[in-house]
Amino acid sequence: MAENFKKYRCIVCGFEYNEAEGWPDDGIAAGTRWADVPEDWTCPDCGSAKEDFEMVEI
Amino acid sequence: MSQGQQQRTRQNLESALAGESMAHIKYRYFAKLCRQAGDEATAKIFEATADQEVVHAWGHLELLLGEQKLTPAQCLELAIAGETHEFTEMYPQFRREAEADGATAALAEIDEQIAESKEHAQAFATHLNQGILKKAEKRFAALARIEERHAGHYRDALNALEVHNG
Repeated sequence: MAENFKKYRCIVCGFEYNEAEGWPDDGIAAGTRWADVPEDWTCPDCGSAKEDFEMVEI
Repeated sequence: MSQGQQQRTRQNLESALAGESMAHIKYRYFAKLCRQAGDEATAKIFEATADQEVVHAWGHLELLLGEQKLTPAQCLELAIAGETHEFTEMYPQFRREAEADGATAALAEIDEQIAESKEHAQAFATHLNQGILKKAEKRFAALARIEERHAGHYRDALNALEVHNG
């Protein structure tokens, strides 16, 4: 089991990207690290850029 | 009708459009909160009302834009103008103002800390305030970038239309 999956939250709308779950709707498999999410991926809810996500403190 | 009266009615239509649009968004948001709270029935009431507000807003738009049917190219041009205003003027100005307000709040906080009898609650409120300002500043910057992309998408669509229509 992979560990230390992190979550990243969109600063505009609060959408959370969870590395453990990925985002299969956009072809991002579960377990995809944030660093491996394509740079041109945008928030599914509000369209903000990847750079406008912040890591969620645990 | 005088020009002043026409102008006033136009402004009222714009206010009504803004009000109905805001109500729509607010009710959708309230519906989301109600659903999260497990109250599906109330969520549905908000959604049904929100749908009606859209139709009200469309009525105002129809009068504001003239009752003639806009072509897809005209719609795209209006959308580009709107998004461009958002990313070149509105959000950059809001971001600058949030930044300025944050700096003012920071100075106020330092002043407060110098004063010996500083209410803990007050400092907490200032921190909270600072957090909101910082968040708003970042969010405005991000939104400006999103609206710029929207304008770009509309422009691409408009260009495609023009190619298609010759």
